[in-house]
Amino acid sequence: MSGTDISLTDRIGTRHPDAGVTRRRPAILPWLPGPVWLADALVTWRWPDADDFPDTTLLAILFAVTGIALLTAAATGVLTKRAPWATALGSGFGAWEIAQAKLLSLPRPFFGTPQDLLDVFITDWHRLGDSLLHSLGLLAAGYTVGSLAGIATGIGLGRSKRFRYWMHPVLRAIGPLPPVALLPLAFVLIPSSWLAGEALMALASGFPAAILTWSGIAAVDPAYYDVARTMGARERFLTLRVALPAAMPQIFVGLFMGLGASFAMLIIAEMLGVKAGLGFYMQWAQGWAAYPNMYAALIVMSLMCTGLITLLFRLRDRILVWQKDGLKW
Amino acid sequence: MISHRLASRRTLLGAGLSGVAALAIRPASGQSAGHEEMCHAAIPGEVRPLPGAPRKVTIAWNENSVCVAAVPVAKEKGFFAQHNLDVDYVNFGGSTDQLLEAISTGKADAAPGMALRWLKPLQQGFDVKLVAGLHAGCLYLSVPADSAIRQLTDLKGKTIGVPDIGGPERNFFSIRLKEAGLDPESDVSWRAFPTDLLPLALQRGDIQALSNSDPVNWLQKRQFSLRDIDTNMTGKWAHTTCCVIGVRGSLVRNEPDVARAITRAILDAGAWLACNPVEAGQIFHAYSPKASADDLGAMIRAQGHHHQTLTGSFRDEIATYAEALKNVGIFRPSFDTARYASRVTQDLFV
Amino acid sequence: MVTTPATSGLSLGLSAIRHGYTLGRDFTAVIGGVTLNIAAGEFVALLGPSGCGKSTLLRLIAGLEAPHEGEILADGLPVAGPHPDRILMFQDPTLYPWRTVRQNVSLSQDISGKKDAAAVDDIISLVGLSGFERAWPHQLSGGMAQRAALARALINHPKLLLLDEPLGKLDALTRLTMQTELHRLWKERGFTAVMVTHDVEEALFLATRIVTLSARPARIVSDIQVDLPFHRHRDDPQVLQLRRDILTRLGHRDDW
Repeated sequence: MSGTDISLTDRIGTRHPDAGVTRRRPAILPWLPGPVWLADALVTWRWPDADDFPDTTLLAILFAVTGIALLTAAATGVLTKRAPWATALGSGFGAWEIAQAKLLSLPRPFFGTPQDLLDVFITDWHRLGDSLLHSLGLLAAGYTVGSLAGIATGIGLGRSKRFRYWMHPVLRAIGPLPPVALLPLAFVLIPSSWLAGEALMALASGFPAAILTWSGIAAVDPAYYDVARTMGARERFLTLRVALPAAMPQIFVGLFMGLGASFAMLIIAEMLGVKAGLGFYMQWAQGWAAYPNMYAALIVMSLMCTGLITLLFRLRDRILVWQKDGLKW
Repeated sequence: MISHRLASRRTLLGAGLSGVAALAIRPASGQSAGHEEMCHAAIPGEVRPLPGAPRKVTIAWNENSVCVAAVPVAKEKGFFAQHNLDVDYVNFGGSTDQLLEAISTGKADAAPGMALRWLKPLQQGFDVKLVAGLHAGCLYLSVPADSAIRQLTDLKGKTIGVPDIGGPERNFFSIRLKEAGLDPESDVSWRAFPTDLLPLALQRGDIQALSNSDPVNWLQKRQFSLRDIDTNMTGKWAHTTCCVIGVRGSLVRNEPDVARAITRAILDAGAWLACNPVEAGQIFHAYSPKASADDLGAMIRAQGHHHQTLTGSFRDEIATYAEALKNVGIFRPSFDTARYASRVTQDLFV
Repeated sequence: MVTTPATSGLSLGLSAIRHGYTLGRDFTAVIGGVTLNIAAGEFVALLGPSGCGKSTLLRLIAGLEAPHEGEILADGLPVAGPHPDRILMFQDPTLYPWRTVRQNVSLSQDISGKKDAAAVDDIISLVGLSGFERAWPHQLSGGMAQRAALARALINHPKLLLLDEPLGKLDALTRLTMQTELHRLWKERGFTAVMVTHDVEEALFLATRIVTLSARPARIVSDIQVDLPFHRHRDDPQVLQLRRDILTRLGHRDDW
C-alpha cells in the first residue's frame, strides 16, 4: 500500500539467496566412483589374502555391485553431489583392504579386515539386530519420558517462583552428577532393574531439557507477556502459548543435548542385567577382544544415533519453521 | 588343603625344577620364622640383579582384586629391587581384558590376570605371552544363606548374576555346571550387574545366585549373609592356576632377562604372600580400604597362593582350561587346545 | 474545539496518580501526582523528557501495574487489571516470531476463543498487509511489522488505544506514512487514543490535545487543546507557532 515498503516485499523473495544458482562441475567427477569400487572388487578378488579371512569373494562381489550401481547412477545423472564422497569411501575401503587383508600392515587384533566386518554382519546380524531393537526400546521410553518431564520441569522453573524455590536446589544437586555415580542409588531406590535403567535414561535426557527450557523461558521478552495480558490472557495461555513457543529454540538445544546424554547413559543402563543391547553387545565383544564385532556394533550404534538425531532435527525444522536459520544436521 | 599344596609343589618339581626339594614340604603354619626359606618361589638359581641402572618397567594390574596382592607386595617387600627393577604400576580397575590391550600396545610390560579372562581374547592374536601361574582359587558362586539351592544342579532354570557377561566367573561356573551335567547356556541364564549391585539383584529376585571374587565377595557374604555353593578351590580346580602372569611378547623376545626378572619377582612375592597373609593383608589394605587388613589376610589365606606353576605343567593347565572352554562352547569344537596352549605360553625358565 | 469523530471510545479519569520503583534499597519516584481527565474519542499526546515516566503512565492505564497512590477510572469504573478494551502498543512491534502475520493479528481471538476469520481479513486489509498473511515476522520490515502490530491491537475494536512511541524506531518516510495511517484509523474507528511521543510534530499532526510532562517524577506542565482542523500541514503558521510554544514549555526555547 505504500512505496516505502517495497524493499520489504523484496526481502521475502530473497530468503534463499543462493537458490537457483547452479555451479558448474567437471562432468568427469560422477564417473569416478564406479571404477574405484570396481578396482576394489578386482583387488579383493585376485590379490590373495595374507591370512585365512572369511567372505573374501562375497566382499569382492559386494564391491563390484556397488561399482556397477554407481556407474548406473552416473549414467542416469543421479550421482552428482555425492560423487566425491562415493569416491573417497571407495578409495578408503580399497586402502583398508590392501593394508590389512593383503599386507597385514596394521597391528592385529585391533584392526580387522573389511571381510571380518562383513562376516560379523552375516553371521551375527540376528544378535546385532536384537541388540539394536533392545537399545532402541530402552532409549525411546527413557528419552521420551525424560524429555517431557524435563520440559515440564523447565516450565515450572521458569514460570513459578514456588516451584523454583523447591526444585532448583534439587536439580543443582542431582543434575550434574555423573550418571555412573547414580547407578547404585537408582538401583536401590527403584524396585525393578529395567525401571532403574529407564529412570537413569530419563534423568540423563531430562536434565538438559529442564535447564534449557528454563533458560529459554527466562529469556522470553517480558513484552510478549504484556501483549497477551492486555488482551486478557491468563497464566495458562501465557505459559503454553507464549512462554513455551518462545522458548522452543532453546528447548530443542536441550533435547539435542539430552539425546547425546542418553546415548552415553544407554551403555550404563545396559549394565543392569539386560539380555541384549548394543552397549551389552559391545561389552561382550570387548571382553572377548572380538574387535570386528565391536566395530560392527559401533557402526550400528552410530547409524542409530545419527538416525535419531536426524529425526529430532526434522521435528525441529518442522516446529521451528519460523526461525530465520538454524543449524542443519 | 595341605595335600593340595604339596601336590602343586610337586607339580613344580616334576616340571624339571630340581635342587630345592625342601621347598616342596612346608609345615602347616606357614608363618613360623624358622622356615622362611620355604616361602620363596621354586625357581632355581641365585637371584642375579639386572646389570646397570635400575631397569624401569611398568606393571598393569587391577587393584580391585586381592588375589593379585603379590604385585604390591613385590614392590613393598623389595622383590623387584632384588632384581634391580624399578616398577611403576598402572591400575585398570574393573575389567581385566584391558590389561591385555595395555600390554600388547606397549603401555605396560607385564600384568597378572585371570586365565579364564584372557584365554578367549588371546585367541585374537595379542602379542602377549603367558609365562607362569601365580596362584589358584579366587572365584565364588554364592546364594542367600536361606536359599534352597544347595548344589550346582539346583541351579537348573535359575538366573546367575555375574559382573561381566564374558568374564571368568561365567566361564568358570559354566565349566562347573557342565561337569555337574547341566547345559550352561540353556539350563541357566546369565545376567550382568555391576559387582556391588549383585547382592541387591539377588535380594529383589532378579538373580538367584551370584558370582564374583574377593575382596568384594568376602564382604558381601558377611553383609548379606550369603553362602558359597561352589568355588574354584574344590576338586581338581583347587590346584589349577587361576591367575597367570602375562608378559609383553616383544619383551620376552628382546629382553628375556628382564621378562624373567619380572616373573620371578612376582612369583617370589606370591610365595612370600602365601606364608605371610597377615602382613600381605596389611599391604593390600592401602588399595582396599573397605576391607580390614585382617579380613584381607584371611582372604589371602583362603586362596590358593601356594600354587605356582611354570613351563610344562603351566602349559598343561592352560590346555586344560582351553579344553574346558571348548566343552562349554566358548571355543569352537575343532579347536586344537594343545597347539593353542603352546602358542600363548612361553617357557622363561629352562 | 475540533470536531472529534463519532466515538466508540471510553473516557479516562486519572486522579493524583503516584508511582515509583524500588531498586535494591532505593526508591525512585516516577510519577509524582498526575491528575488528568480524557474524554471519549480524544487523541491525547503525552510529551516529556525521556525517562520521565510517560511509558509507566501508559502501563498503569493499561492495568499492567497498579499505581501506588491515586485512582484510574475507565468509563467511570476503576481499572483493576488488563482488559481487552484497553490495548497497549509498544515501541517495538513485539510480534510473536513463531506466529505468521495472520496468526499474530488474530492473537486476541485465540485468547478469547471467539474466532472471526472475516474480522481478521478486514483488519489485515485495513492496515495494508493483504498478501502477507502467511509471512513470518522476521520477513517483515519495521513498518510492516508495526502495521501488523496495529492490526493485532485494533482487531477487537478496543475503546482505548495506548501507544508507546509506536513509530519511534521507523525511518522518517515510513513514519510519515504511518502517521497518516494512524490518523485515518482513529477517525474511522473512533477509539480514544493516548500516545507517548518525543516528536512534537507528530503530536501536532495527530493529537487533539497535547499534555507535556516534567522530568521525573512526572507532573503535568501544560495541557494544550490543539484547535486546528485536520489535515494539518507541517508548514502551517499556526502549527509552527504551537510547535514553538510547546518546545518552550519543554525547556527548548533557545534551540532551533
